[in-house]
Amino acid sequence: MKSHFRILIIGAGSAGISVASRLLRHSSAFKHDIALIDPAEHHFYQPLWTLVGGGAAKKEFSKREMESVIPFGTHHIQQSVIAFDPDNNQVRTEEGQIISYDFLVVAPGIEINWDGIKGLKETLGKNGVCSNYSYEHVDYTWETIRNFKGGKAVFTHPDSPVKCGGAPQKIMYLAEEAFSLHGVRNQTEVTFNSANPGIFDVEEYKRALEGVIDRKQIKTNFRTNLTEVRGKEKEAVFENLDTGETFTTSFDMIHVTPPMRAPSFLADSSLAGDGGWIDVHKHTLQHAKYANVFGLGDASNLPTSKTGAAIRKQAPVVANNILSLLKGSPMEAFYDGYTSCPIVTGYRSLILAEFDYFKMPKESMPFNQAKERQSMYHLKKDFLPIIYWNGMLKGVM
Amino acid sequence: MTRQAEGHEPRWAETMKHPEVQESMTYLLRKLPEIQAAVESLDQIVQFGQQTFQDRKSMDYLEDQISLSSIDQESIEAFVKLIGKIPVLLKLVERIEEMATFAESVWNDRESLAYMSSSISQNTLTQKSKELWEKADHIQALAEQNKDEHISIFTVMKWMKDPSVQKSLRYAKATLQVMNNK
Ligand SMILES: Cc1cc2nc3c(=O)[nH]c(=O)nc-3n(C[C@H](O)[C@H](O)[C@H](O)COP(=O)(O)OP(=O)(O)OC[C@H]3O[C@@H](n4cnc5c(N)ncnc54)[C@H](O)[C@@H]3O)c2cc1C
Repeated sequence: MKSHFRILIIGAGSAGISVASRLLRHSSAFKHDIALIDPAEHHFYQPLWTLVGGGAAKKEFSKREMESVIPFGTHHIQQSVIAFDPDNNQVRTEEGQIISYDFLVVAPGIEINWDGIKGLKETLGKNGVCSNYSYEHVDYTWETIRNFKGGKAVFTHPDSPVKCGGAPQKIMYLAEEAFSLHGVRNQTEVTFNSANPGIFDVEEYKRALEGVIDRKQIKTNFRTNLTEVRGKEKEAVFENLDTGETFTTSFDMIHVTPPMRAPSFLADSSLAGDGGWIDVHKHTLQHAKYANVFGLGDASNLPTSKTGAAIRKQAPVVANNILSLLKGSPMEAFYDGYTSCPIVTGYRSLILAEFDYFKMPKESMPFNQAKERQSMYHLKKDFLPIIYWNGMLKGVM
Repeated sequence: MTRQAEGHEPRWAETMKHPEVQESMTYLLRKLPEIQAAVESLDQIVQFGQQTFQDRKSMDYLEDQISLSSIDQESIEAFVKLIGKIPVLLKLVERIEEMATFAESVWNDRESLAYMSSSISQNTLTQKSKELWEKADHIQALAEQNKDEHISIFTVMKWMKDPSVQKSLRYAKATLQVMNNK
């Protein structure tokens, strides 16, 4: 088995596949000289999970065989990386294999820390405790919402970076509308307990979302972090992040967004910077210390919201800058922090938030995107999945 | 031999005595083999040109091709301009190629096509059924309101004039015709 590659990519998620496709599209010289290391058998289009949890899409559409998305001409090494040796241009896998490279791209995503909330793992998928953050459990969210007969519905946002900052509240807006459609809204109290100081970071969208919260009569508790779930008792324990006080509340259903962190094999390596994320330059995406190492996606320390949409703009920067280095010319591709979060506010409405490092809106549409729109909902539901599978993963969009 | 030759050296011999001339001559002599080779290949090119021009068939063919094509002075100028625009064109062609790759990929992606068609039918179905239910509710409410209203033959004749009733009757008539013809 080949053990040296010109380009070695860790993680065949949205980021890894996009970079491999782009390099291969650029030059056939990379054929059979690029490898993607990833132990997974399936690739997931995770943004669909919000709609799956809200009963508006089938979860099967979010899953594909990994082999079907690996670009032609790329080796797939189906193993887990456990250690880096950037001084010798090598990585080591769990199976003990050493693989060397000329250029390394690090994109293993973000790790979900299910153990970060006491009692969660034991009760997830029953007792009205649901979460959109795993393929296995995402349909239990819809089962819970569909069968809800009224009472207390609680939604949480953890005290950690998360993938897609808007996702914890999107499912709440869908649930609230479902409760209305099913005639149980009047008997229901909907609460959003979030560790963040406000509903959204970008002022323009924050104002619009505060309007949505008011209209839907949702109760909010900010700087509030979930620490324990007692499924059988239907109780949740929260701490106030400013005062340190804890309080217990009962629930009839709770949607939990679990805490997340940098993958531990990366956090423990010499490639990691603060927080354990891969330490890359925020514009070139090149590693701060190792010139032949690049990083992108959820595992990177880029100070922007971690989304697939951000990766759409990061992947060409990584591919082009690697090409420049190979040609011996200066790196010219530049990432401005662009990210996007399509915030579903109901079954036919969506606010398409798009912004950069300065939290300034960077809107693609010729109209005010802070307004809730049906057209944007259809963009997310009907077109983005197709653009993802056939455009982004093919390195053309 | 001329008289001049008897008394004086010829003029060319005098010229030959100049050191610069001698130097040039030596240089030329040394270069002769190269010059010969160059002249030979020049000669070959000239011969090729002459032969091509003499070869009526080839010339006619070339002439035909040019006259049949739209190449003229304007085309040549455009061609020169095009070369200047190649960087922009390349970007455009790349975009077109990307779009083509995307379209081809969608077309061959059965799962995406299934997703799209399920989405479309879901949208139209939910919209249509919502409208139908709204209409049905409205009709029921009206019927309840008009419970005690007396319906005479004149009311029925008034209905017959209603465009939607007329349209339905036309459909009914056409259906009966078709069924009779079968
Ligand atoms: C519920 C939900 C809703 C979302 N909504 C949106 C949205 O609306 N819009 C949007 O843009 N984004 C959204 N996202 C975020 C988006 O899905 C992620 O930002 C994106 O998938 C990150 O891509 P990535 O390649 O960095 O990581 P991933 O796609 O997660 O891929 C990481 C890959 O690395 C592999 N890996 C992990 N460890 C190792 C190892 N040790 N060795 C080798 N391989 C390894 C994994 O198996 C995986 O295949 C959402 C996410 C969720 C969960």
